[in-house]
Amino acid sequence: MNLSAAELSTLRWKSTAHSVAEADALLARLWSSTESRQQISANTSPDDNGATPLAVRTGVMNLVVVAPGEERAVGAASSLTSLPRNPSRTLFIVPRDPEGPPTFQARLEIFCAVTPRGDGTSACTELLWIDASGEAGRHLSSMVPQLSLHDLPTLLWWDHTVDPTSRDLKELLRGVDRILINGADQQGVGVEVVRDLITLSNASGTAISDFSLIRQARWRDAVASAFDEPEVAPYLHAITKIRATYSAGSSITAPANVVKPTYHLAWLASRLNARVTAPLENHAGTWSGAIDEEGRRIALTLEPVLDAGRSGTTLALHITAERRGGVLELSVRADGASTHVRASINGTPVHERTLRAKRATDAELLSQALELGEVDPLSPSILRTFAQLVG
Amino acid sequence: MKSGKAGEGGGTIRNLRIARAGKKVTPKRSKANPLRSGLRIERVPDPNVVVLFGATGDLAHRKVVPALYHLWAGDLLPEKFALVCFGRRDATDATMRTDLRASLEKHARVKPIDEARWSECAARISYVKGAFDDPESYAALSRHLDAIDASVGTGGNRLFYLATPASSFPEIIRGLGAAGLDHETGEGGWRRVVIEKPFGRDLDSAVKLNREVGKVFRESQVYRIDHYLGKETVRNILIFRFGNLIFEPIWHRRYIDHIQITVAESIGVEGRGAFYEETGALRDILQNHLLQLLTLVAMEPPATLDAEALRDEKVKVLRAVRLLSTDTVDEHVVRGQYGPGWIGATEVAGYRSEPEVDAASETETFVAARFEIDDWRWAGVPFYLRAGKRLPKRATEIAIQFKDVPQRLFSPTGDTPEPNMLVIRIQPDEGILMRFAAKVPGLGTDVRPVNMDFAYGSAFSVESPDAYETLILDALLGDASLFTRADEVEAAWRIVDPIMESWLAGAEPALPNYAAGTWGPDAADALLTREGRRWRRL
Ligand SMILES: NC(=O)c1ccc[n+]([C@@H]2O[C@H](COP(=O)([O-])OP(=O)(O)OC[C@H]3O[C@@H](n4cnc5c(N)ncnc54)[C@H](OP(=O)(O)O)[C@@H]3O)[C@@H](O)[C@H]2O)c1
Repeated sequence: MNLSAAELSTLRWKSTAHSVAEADALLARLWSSTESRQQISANTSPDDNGATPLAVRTGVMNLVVVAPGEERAVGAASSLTSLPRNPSRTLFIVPRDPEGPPTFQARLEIFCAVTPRGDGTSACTELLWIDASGEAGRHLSSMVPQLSLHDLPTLLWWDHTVDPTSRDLKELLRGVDRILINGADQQGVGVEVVRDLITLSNASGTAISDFSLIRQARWRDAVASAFDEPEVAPYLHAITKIRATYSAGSSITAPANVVKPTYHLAWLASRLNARVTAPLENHAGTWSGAIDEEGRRIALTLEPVLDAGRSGTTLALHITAERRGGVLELSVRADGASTHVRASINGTPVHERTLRAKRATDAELLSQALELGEVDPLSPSILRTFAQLVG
Repeated sequence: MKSGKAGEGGGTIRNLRIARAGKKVTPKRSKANPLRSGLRIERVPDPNVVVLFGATGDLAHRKVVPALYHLWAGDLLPEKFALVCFGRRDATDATMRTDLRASLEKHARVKPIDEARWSECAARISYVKGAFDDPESYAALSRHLDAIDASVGTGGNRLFYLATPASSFPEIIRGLGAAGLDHETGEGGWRRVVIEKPFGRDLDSAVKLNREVGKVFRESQVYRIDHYLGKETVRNILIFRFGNLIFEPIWHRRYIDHIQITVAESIGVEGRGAFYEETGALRDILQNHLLQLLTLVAMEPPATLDAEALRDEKVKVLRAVRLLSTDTVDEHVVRGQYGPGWIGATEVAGYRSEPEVDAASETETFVAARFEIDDWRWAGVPFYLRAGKRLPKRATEIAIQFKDVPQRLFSPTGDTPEPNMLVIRIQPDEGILMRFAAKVPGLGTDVRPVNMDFAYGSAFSVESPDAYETLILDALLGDASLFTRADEVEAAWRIVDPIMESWLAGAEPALPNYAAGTWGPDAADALLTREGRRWRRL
């Protein structure tokens, strides 16, 4: 059900709860009787036959958002309004005051919109705003399963830094189908955190979606489009070098998060079916490594560039390939509205194209991640190669 | 709750089909690009030129060029692409571009027009003046195409799109053949021809047209477009039937009582009176759309998803439809024509008062028919088909009515649970509905039918591409599964021919026989009521 931003603001019911059991019971009771379901849809007038239309909860998924503060949680909630489908239940969890006494406070809200079907049915989505202090905030795995709707997929949006050593996270992953993170927001160079999370989620069979990886779809489209060209295509299996430049921010001294440029390398390596022969090593911000495609070595480099942009952002991708005396140089760049591809062979330009591809907004990324469902044609193999590249 | 495993490899039927098609060896098909696997677009067409005949016509302006623009704007066409418009008028590249741009303003699916995209697209459009019957025009076209191959690098890949009156098809095809423009040589790239509906007016003319086309092009080079097949839901029927285990075992005469297929329009002839006078609902909708839907519902699972296997199965269904004889037509087919009436609180004229329509016209604007399919799966299951203009609302759907339960346990006296029904809605609110019986909460055993309803509109918000975009892209990719094969066209005409013959030979019909804004003539209801059934209320 698509509740647009305006419609979503139709708050039909609210309450508060001081324990997980209380929250669960309040909501369960609400949906179990015809009377209360009519109450929820009280805003809609009776139909021609005089029957008051019922409200139904969407049957889509559970979404669990863990955010470092109220502000981020509200930001996440605002991306929800533009989703193509609304989760049946969303838990916004803000762990706070880790040293304080363990408390649980939840604000429960039900928003509904009348469906376009014309029979007055309302489709509803539940929002649970949860403050978990002290120990309670460190035992999310003790509340999420109880508060998730049975038989619906559960997606955990970890809008926070990831600590792969956390027992709670490990336990939480056992109960969710997919975790959504942003690799570029992780501390330090970021790649080890992502690698460890990959290991952790492999163990629990949880799928990972990384905003940073989803965001790069337009780069992948651009690179792939160059190899559709008849002149360029023969060089695909003759690549010798892949080099990505990334923004080091305004100073090289602080280590930049290199998750994003590493994903480019992981994607290419996985599509070429190449084997990682030398994991990436960092020398003052320049990372180098190698992969092997059927006996041919491909050198990999990530190169920092002082730049005003956000540290860790990919600036350009350069691919060199050599075959039968021809040397292909391919470069791809992106700006806010498009990607640019340029290829030359032995210095002669052979292909240049601008692809219209806007940088995706957070809401678009979220909706893409949610719509992935159970099948993600790309991420698993890229993540596997990523982990090998990080070593 | 865990609900499944994340997996690899976009396993949609379409992906599988494309992947398979990619493996077949046809001349000059580019090798699959592994970098595309898992991306938004898994394959893009080879560099190519689209040659548009009838570029000044309605179809070209309303559908074909907007579709090409949207494909271009969506980066779905190769960089090395050109559109050549061929016509008899005095025009230049510049005037052609201006005209097409003006139509785009009216007919583009996404507005506003992206000017930067349009100018890239416009730069690829050129105009060649010529006459369909003049060999020199084809020679000039051929030189122009060679020049584009040389300057743009389109590699000799050409799609000839015939958006002209059907009467010109044979002439154009002969012209292309005489100029050697049909030849796919080792170096010359692929050559394909797209032909628009109608594919003939009856079996005879369809066979003739197919023969003319076949003299020049191999069947694998021919793409007969029925835009109906490009619609998302029609393709979803295949996925629904063959991508789910639970329906196939009951898709059978043992469990199905009958099937209803409806294509209802609320509009009239909308200024195309002259065209409609020559066509009528039987030719316009039943011969193609309704029979296509029937084949998709009734076909056996194809062994593979490639175009040939799929179309083989469709043809088998059409061949198994029991043919009516001229003396059984009246019993099984009802025709109608609308008189004046009211639709949506507006008074509308009757068909015979529409512009360009004969005041004593006998053209049918409504047709309902009962068919049977003589095979093991369907023997004894009637298929009721109906299509009409000026019906109360626009709706296209397939309803599968299951049989009653063998024993009525619950209320032996009165209320019996209604039998199950599965409805595949195609428009306007695409979706699937399943009706089954459930107990009303409470002490008694009150049984009510309840609906399990799935609407695509609310679950997948992705804007569907126009059918022409899908189909043109498929033709450029060399995927013929959604196009109609010659034998399919002929098999469909074989079903329709006796109906036309019987009408021609019979007495003058009493028309009009339904008021605009109603569900057609009473006789259409009788077709079902005499067998103890009724049309589903829409
Ligand atoms: N329009 C639709 O919605 C629609 C839908 C489905 C199928 N179709 C089919 O598509 C085809 C085209 O339909 P349409 O509605 O676009 O027809 P239209 O508006 O009449 O256009 C016909 C086109 O063919 C050209 N033409 C006709 N005779 C010619 C000749 N002797 N020499 C050179 N050019 C000639 C016309 O050129 P001039 O401009 O110079 O006359 C015009 O460009 C038909 O087969 C129709 O059945 C149409």
